[in-house]
Amino acid sequence: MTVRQKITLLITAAGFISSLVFSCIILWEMLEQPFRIIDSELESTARRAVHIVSGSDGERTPDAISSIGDERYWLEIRDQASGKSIYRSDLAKLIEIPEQDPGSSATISLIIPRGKINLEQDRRNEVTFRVRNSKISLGGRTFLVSVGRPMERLEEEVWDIFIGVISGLTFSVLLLAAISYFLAGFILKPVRIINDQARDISEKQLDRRIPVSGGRDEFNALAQTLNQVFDRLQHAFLRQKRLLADASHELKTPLTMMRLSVDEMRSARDDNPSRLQAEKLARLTEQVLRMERLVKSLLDLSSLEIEGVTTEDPIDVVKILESLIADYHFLAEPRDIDIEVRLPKQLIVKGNAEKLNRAFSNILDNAIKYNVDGGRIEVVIEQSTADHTIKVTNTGPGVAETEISKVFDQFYRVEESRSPRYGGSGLGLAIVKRIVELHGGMVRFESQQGSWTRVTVSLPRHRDKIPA
Amino acid sequence: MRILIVDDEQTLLDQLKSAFEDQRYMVETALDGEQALDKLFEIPVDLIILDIMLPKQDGLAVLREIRQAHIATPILMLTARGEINDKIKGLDLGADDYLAKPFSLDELLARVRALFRRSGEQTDSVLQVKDLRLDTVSREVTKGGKPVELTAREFSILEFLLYNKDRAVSRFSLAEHVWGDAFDPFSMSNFMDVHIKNLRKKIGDSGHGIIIRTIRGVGYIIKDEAE
Repeated sequence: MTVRQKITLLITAAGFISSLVFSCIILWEMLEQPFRIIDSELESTARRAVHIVSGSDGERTPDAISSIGDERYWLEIRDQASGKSIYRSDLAKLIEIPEQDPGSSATISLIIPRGKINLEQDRRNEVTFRVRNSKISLGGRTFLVSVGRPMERLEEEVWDIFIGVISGLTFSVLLLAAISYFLAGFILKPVRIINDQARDISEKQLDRRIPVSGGRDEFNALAQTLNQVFDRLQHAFLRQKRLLADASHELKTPLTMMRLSVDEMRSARDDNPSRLQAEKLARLTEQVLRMERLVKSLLDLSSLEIEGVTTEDPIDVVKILESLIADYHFLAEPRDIDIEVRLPKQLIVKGNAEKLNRAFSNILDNAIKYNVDGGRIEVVIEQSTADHTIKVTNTGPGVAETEISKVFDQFYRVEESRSPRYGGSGLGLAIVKRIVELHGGMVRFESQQGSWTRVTVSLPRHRDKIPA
Repeated sequence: MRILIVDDEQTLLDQLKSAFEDQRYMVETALDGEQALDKLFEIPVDLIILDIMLPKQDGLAVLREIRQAHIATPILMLTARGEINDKIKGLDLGADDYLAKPFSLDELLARVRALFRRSGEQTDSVLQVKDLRLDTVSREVTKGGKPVELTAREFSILEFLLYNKDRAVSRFSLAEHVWGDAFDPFSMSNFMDVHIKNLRKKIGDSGHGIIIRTIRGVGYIIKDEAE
């Protein structure tokens, strides 16, 4: 889950909880309020009824009370002292409502047979009454008054309110989610920018830095910290490269001397050395040469790493490949390795002939070295609108899947190939990678252990300038 | 022929001195640019081998001074590997050839001979052994007056062997010379025999008075006199 999603979710959840609490309070208030209004209405009706009852003689009481207006009140007035019922409205005569404590209010549902009263009833013939019981003293007498009122459509109203609140809540949560998603994106934008730039820097140009705006916010601090990390990384990186270059540089003079010595010993063999001496000399020569080769590769690699650009001459890759294959043919033939070639007439790229030659030579050298006797090599060029792909596939034993990511590392060699039979410095593919990168391209290494290995070089059709 | 070798490494100087003296050259040595210039004004030399990495004054500065003093002696620069800019600068300033360290003795000797030829001491661009002639300029080969068609590789092998006439040349140096750095000389030296075989066939080199001889465990040699 991205931080943006997390922030959105958290803000939305917080917003949801607070509006839920708010809605609950509102809902409760809204549900209580009608009852309070009805209660006070009932209370005042009760008082008026008591007024009328206490002020009249009893004969005219019913008419007088009807003048209160609403015949639909359930009204019963009793004298507390005698406990006798003084007045009952029409509704009270028809329907019995159980007696309750004076001073209380109650909501009572009764099931009344249909047709008995002229009230709206629900499907279950239920009518809900709100009843207010009061004790009113007037003119020395105390009356117990129960006033009830049918609450038609109460449930529907409650349901309406409930729906209203829920839909309001849903809408506001959705709105909140949208706003917080946008906001999170807005807040996190600098992080995304910093991330993009940091990735670019670590992949391509270690000498570039993330621009710092000078503000004092957290993102600037992050950018500064990252820049410091890059500084140290670049320093360490350069120092390592420098060390490699210096070390191999220092090795050159002693190596030259060794090489000259063995060359001289070899050419001054007139004194006819023993067979053993000749053998030892040959072995020494070989090892000096191997060391020389290693130092040369190291120097090449380190100067390639320090170099940021290549020349941009038009180079025919097909020509390079053909002349290389002509040379390697001699290597392949004795081992019965078949080289199959599918090349176009011409393939011009911009670059450096010497370097590209070196890269393809290393690839072909590996394709032969790490192949089975009687195997096959396939060299194919494919062209697309974006780039040129040169694929070299061989029938070698390949590399285990877990090892594939390491093949471009310096000094990586497949375990079995460490034997002197293969020679090799373990720098070949590292050099290939660097050269192809300098040409703005990419190298891929695929392998199926035990059956084949493929090195794919893609060179861009249109080369962007590679910054130093 | 007198050669001046300038390098700050005494051991290397001694080695090169003895190697060149073996080839019947006269050798002067200098450890830095100052000494080199002193020697140059003292004794005339025919070729200068100049290391680019020198104390006090680097090889390029020495080169510039030599040329400013109107000394036209051919100069072979010994460069550090990968210093391509220096190579180009060296040639611009008037160096005649360059060789990257480490190098093989065969390669150095071949280059030195090529330079002597070019410098006009021997205006003839033809290398010859018996009735085999190789023209280094027109790049033509004839055997007994008849033209021989060689591939670029075969020509390069023959040329190198001829430049190193009477010296045994190792298969490795030969491979290095012919294929350059891009190839693994171990791989290449393995099929040197194939190329030599083809080359021999083309120049009709067989039987008595063979031109290219194989020296077991070492390499090849071209000798003038029949043994």
